[in-house]
Amino acid sequence: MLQNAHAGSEYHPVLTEDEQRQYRLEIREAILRPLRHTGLMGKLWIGLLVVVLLVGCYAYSIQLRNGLKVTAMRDYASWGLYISNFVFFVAISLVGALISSVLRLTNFDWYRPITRIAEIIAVAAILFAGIIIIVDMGRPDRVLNLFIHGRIQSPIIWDVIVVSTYLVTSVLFLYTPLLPGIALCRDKLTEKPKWQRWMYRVLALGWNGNRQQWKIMKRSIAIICILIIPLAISIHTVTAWLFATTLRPGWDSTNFGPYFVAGAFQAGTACVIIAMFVFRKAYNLQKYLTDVHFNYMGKLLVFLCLIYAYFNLNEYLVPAYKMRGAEGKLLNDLFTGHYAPLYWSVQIFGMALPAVLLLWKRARKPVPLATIALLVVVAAWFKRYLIVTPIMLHPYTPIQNVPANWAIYFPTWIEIAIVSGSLAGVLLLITLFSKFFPIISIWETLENEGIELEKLDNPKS
Amino acid sequence: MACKRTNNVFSLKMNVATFILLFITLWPLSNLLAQEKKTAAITLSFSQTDSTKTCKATVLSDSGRVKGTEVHLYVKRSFSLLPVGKVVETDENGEANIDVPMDLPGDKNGMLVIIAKIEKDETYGDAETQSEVKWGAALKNEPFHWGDRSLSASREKAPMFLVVASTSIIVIIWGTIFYVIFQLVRINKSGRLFKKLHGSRS
Repeated sequence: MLQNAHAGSEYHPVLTEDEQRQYRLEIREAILRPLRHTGLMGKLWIGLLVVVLLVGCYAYSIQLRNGLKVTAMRDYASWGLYISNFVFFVAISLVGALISSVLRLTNFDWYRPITRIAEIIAVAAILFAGIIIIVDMGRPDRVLNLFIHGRIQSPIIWDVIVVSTYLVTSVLFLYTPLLPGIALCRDKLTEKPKWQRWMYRVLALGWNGNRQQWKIMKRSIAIICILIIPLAISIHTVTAWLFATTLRPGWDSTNFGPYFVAGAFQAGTACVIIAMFVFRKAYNLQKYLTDVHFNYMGKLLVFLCLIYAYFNLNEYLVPAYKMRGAEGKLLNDLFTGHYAPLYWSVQIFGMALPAVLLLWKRARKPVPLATIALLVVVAAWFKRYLIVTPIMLHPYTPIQNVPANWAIYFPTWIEIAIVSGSLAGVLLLITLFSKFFPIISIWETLENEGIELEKLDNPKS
Repeated sequence: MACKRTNNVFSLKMNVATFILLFITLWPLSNLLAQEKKTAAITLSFSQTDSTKTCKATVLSDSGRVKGTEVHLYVKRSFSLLPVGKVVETDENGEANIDVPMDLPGDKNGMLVIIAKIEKDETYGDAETQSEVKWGAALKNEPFHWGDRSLSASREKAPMFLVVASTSIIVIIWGTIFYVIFQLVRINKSGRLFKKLHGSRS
């Protein structure tokens, strides 16, 4: 009937109350359907993720037993795959703030059906960012000391504070608008096991959609919306400062904060596009995640690719013009040396090509857009690897009087297994969330269609 | 075969005998040649104008002033010798004048230990002398304030602006978070109250 054909426009057709109720039933059924039943493909997908996660846990148990010597990290490359992965996770976690908060505050409407996808990606990513940092620690049993004995002068403490704060805020940002959805699950999914029904009952916080509850919820969402923007920018700026406050060629830059934030928005948007595509296909949500949403997300990705390209230009062209000392050696290694194939692949496939291809409307259709977004995400991961590892191997003081293998870095299978496990963990968390809770916010999607659940539930008041 | 082996043994014995003979003859000869190296002594004197500080090294040997010998000048530092000025050859008076930089840091009294050296000279081998002169900038030992607040200080000595700024931000942000959590509690209360008044609604 409506099919979001007017998504993003100001026009909402006037529906009778019966039509509104009918549409609500329709959307409820469509969105609860994946929660009622998991197909064979879904089970295989979850099984695969669990296996990869378990292999990662096994690899971590070996690392715990034998220490960080089982990794390829040594005196020079003391940050490797783990920190690259941490930066990647922090980056994609910013998308929750971009999609749900920036677009909400700037009065866009079309974003509403994809808010929850963005928010769960943010929560899963920031949770595993925290976990991967603990994995990188030589003595994880001392993690509490960071809070007890940390020095406020250290950027590492800023990062610890901001990551934990952003995690809590993101969970609140996911949870608060989810209350009507949880209550719906509590009321409608009565065939579910006892523990699951108990979980819905507890998490729903006695939601029954009265006017006061709607009012409090919407005000809380507005508060978190404002709070999460500076937090999101802080989290990635502080992560950038972890590098920029260290005296090393390639990191000694005042450009690093905005450069990281721009890259984060770009990578996060690409992640949301992929998730939209998968959920739309797997859960038959074509009616709610429409071509219009893909078109807008494609345009957003072009915009973010161009901004990121601008920051890359600043980050590489200015020092390349001077080519001084250790920085020159590093840039030569990136442009024409050992890392050149990876560097140019990342810049071309992760930034230049998507920005050009997505200018055509045909490329902003679901399948091509999801393919391009996948390229962007893969490139974004390797981009973080390039930001971390080559720089560690190009210190200002020459590498000398050390074993030859200290001057190179290639991750061991333990590192690869743990990082793969963490990536699988993020995907598993998102998948399981979508199996327990509505992946599309019903009340926000209805509001996008001009139907206010608040009024529909409280006709007399 | 036996004859050939006898010849070889004889030849070996001859070689060893020749080596011993040469060693006995040449060893005293080499000592004799070594003793041929003369000794030289260096004396230092200092002169100063408004814009230059010059160190004059005079090289003397048993046979008088030494001409054409390279003199190296150093200043003693904490862990090694700092070469100063150019390496200068002595003139016909056996003198080498070397300029010393004006701004070398000295000890707490401004004293510099200046060392003049002749290094691996063909005739005189090595020679060295040292002398003190008050040409250095007096070293001021700034007292290190362990108790001061700074970015590199301990946790308790963090700069006040950082403590105030970070604490304010944390209090504002976490205050807001707790306010939102309190709102969730209010939602729960409101639900219970509504249920009590109107019964359950699905």
